[in-house]
Amino acid sequence: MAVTTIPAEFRGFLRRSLYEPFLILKKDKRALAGLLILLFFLLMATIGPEVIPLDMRTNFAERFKPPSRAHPLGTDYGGRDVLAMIVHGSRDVLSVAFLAALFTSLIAVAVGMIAGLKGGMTDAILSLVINAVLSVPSFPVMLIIGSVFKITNAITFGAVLSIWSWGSLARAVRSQVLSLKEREFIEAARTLGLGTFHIVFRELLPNVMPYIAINFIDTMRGAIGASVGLMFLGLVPFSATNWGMMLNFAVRQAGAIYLPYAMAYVLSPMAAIMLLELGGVFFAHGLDEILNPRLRA
Amino acid sequence: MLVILRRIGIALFTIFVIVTLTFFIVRKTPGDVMQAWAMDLLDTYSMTYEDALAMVKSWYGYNPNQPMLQQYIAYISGLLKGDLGKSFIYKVSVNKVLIRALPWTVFVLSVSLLLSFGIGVMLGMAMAWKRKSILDPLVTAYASFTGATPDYITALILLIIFAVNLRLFPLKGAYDATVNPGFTWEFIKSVLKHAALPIAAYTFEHAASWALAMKGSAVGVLGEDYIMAARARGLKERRIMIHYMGRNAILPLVTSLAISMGSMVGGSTLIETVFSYPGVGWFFGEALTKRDFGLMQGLFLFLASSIIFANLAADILYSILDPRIKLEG
Amino acid sequence: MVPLLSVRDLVVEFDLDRGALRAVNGASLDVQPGEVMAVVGESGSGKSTLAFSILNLVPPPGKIVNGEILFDSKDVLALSEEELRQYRWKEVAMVFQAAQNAMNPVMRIADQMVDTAQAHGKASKGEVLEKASELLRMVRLEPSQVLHSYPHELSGGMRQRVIIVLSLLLDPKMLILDEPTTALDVVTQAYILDILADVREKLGLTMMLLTHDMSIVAKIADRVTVMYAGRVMEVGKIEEIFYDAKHPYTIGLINAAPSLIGDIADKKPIPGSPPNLLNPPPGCPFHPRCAYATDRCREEEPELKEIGDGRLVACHNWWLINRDL
Repeated sequence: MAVTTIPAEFRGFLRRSLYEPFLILKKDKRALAGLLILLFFLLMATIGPEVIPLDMRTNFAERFKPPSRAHPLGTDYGGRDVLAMIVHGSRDVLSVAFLAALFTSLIAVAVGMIAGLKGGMTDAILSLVINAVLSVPSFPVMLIIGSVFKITNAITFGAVLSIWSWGSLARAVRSQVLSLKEREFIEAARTLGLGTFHIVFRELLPNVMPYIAINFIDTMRGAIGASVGLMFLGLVPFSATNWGMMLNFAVRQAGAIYLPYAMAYVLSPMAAIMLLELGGVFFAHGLDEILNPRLRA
Repeated sequence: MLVILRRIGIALFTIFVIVTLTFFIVRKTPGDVMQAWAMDLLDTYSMTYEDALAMVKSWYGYNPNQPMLQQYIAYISGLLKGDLGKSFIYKVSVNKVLIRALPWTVFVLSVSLLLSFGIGVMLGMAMAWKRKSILDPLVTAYASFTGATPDYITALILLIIFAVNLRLFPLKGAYDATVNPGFTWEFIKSVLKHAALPIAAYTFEHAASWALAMKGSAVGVLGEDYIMAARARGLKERRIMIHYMGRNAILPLVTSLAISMGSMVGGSTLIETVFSYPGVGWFFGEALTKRDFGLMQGLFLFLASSIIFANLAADILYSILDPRIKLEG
Repeated sequence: MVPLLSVRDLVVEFDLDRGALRAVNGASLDVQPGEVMAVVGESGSGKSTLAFSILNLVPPPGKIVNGEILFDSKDVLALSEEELRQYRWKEVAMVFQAAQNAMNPVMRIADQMVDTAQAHGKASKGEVLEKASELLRMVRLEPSQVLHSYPHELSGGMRQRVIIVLSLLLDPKMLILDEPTTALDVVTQAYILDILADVREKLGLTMMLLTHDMSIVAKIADRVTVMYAGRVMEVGKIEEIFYDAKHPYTIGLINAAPSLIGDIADKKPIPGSPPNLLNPPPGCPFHPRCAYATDRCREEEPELKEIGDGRLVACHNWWLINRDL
């Protein structure tokens, strides 16, 4: 009989992490739409490339063809299928964005925690640094770094995108740590002799998680926009199917915007980017409601 | 006073950090780029490879014979004298490039900022004042859409629709090459036509978010006692909306103005590239793609410093506008 | 005498999610020209809502659903937008509760004065400021100090006095004061009351004073209206109310007010809890807390009856009430 009863705590945990969020998402239609869009792209990135083969051989006889049954989104300047490129490109786009958000979060949490916990001179210096990072707009910085250091794969790309983006999250983490530091449970943990390690990971981190989670989606969105921008300027030549590169070729190199029948080629990467970003915005709103109960209308 | 000085100090410190970082980044300029420039010089002027390489390095103020520290000091002193470096592609000083490009960027950005802020604020006030109108859902939907779309994509769409297909606006440049610059109506008309799309791109992108911000702030203000008290005093609705609600609601937005300026400048590279508009951003983009590190570095420093000072100015402006703030630490 | 203000059967409802809340439930009231009428009641009695109704300024989701308000023989509720705007402040002005926040934080006092005056017709800045200065001196403030300041630069008591000046700026026929002293310390309270008495004497103003503090009433009022649960329970001259109250609630209020004589422990609070305005019980609204309640009280709502000259009571058993019981 004990096997079939689920312990009360676990039920509570399930309820909080799965059932309640699901209810909230059901009520907020936009957030639901956002989640669906994101799942769609996730699917596209994971199994898409397996389903739709990519043929990168050039076939200039087929270039700039408008949408047809064989090529639902037309062909590019080299006669290659646009739809296949979009599907394959999604993997690059999402992995770069994910890595960028990951690195950003790591740096931000580290800096924020150290500044908040250590206090004093360390905090003063780190705060100045955070301030500096926040006052200079990140895109030009990324442009320069991208130009000086060669970006060769998704990891380096993600790293470059994260170098100047951790400022606001670091600030949020720092103020959260500062306010938590004063609370009793930290005092209690200290008195019990639990080390800094324990305090950081078991007490502070869980309280900071909501900020990180929401910021993650936003950072990914920003990374997508920035990465495509960098590629559009031709600074990141390593992947030809990445939507940003497609845009670069279409607009700057092949001049496809002047050819009305090649519109699908030009518009596809733009539409993909817009859709993905929209999904991100809507879902982030829902995520905010889940993690911040006060916002639930 | 003390607080203003402190703020200025922080700003200067930030710029100093940026300068130092840039210095070291340039040191890391990949050797192959320098070699490429040297080869380019070789072709244009006949000189030995070593001479060419040495010349390239000197363009950067990069004297490998001097110890790093001395190079650094030379660089800083150069900066203080206003020497931002030299451009490789154009063979002139960065300052010269700036003089040509800056007016266009300033023109477009300031008009865009004014337009988007002005339109946004008025929309926001109207949205907050009339609670149940069609304006609200329309603007909110428009805002999510533009908020999600990166600015260069909005720019591209505008370019494709209006310049390429409808041929209503020109495709590139700041003014028609056939028109002579001067205070003629011809010239002014040409300038406006060429600036129209970039300004439209910025404004479309940002107006809605200003509207939402203003609405949020205004709705908060509407709940305050003094609004009801103003009604009780028999003041005209319009007067209350503008002077009692508007003036109070706009205050928090002023600090956002500075941040917004920063992001507009940051985005100017892409937008100016899309429209081939010869402002600072466009030159920066050229410097990047053509690996002109001298121009890149100089322009970047200029951009970063101006944004930092713009932030500072906005802080001070805010304290003047809101009599309650006395620039507390 | 024709009353300056006449309210009849006023009903004001607030449309909330959980139902319709009746803040004012059939209240009637008269104010004679030149008198100070105190409207007394605990919070939730409906007196503030009544006051707002006189200016037709009930904030949404509130609505006046029934009743008549006649001011100087004008039907206030029938006024057009523009007439209403002119009527407000020029005929009736109001000093709000906790008036500290009643002024625009980003405008100087002088500008707000001018704004108020110019909204009601052409007036030159000089004229307005001269009048304002005169009034400021009447409330014992120094015009040169006050006029050029922003609201946050003045203390709470000073702001309260500026609000009073603002309300007198257009020579209104009646001034409504909603808890004019509640947010202030005792010393300032006395000061403000002094000033109000002064102003009334010099300008011959009609005043309606809303409060729950019986001691203020004693100091300044001519007549008293007692409200409970959105209805009028008793009306009378001040001596009549204080020495010969007829309604159990009024008696309870007077007994509960602390005085210098006697032990505060002897004071009897009114038992029970405030009335439910969402679902009012049938009969007299006070019956759940009334020591004299009878079956009739539980079923039938008492009418406001005239038992003397201007003396009104809404109680079935009023003649049985003896204050000392």
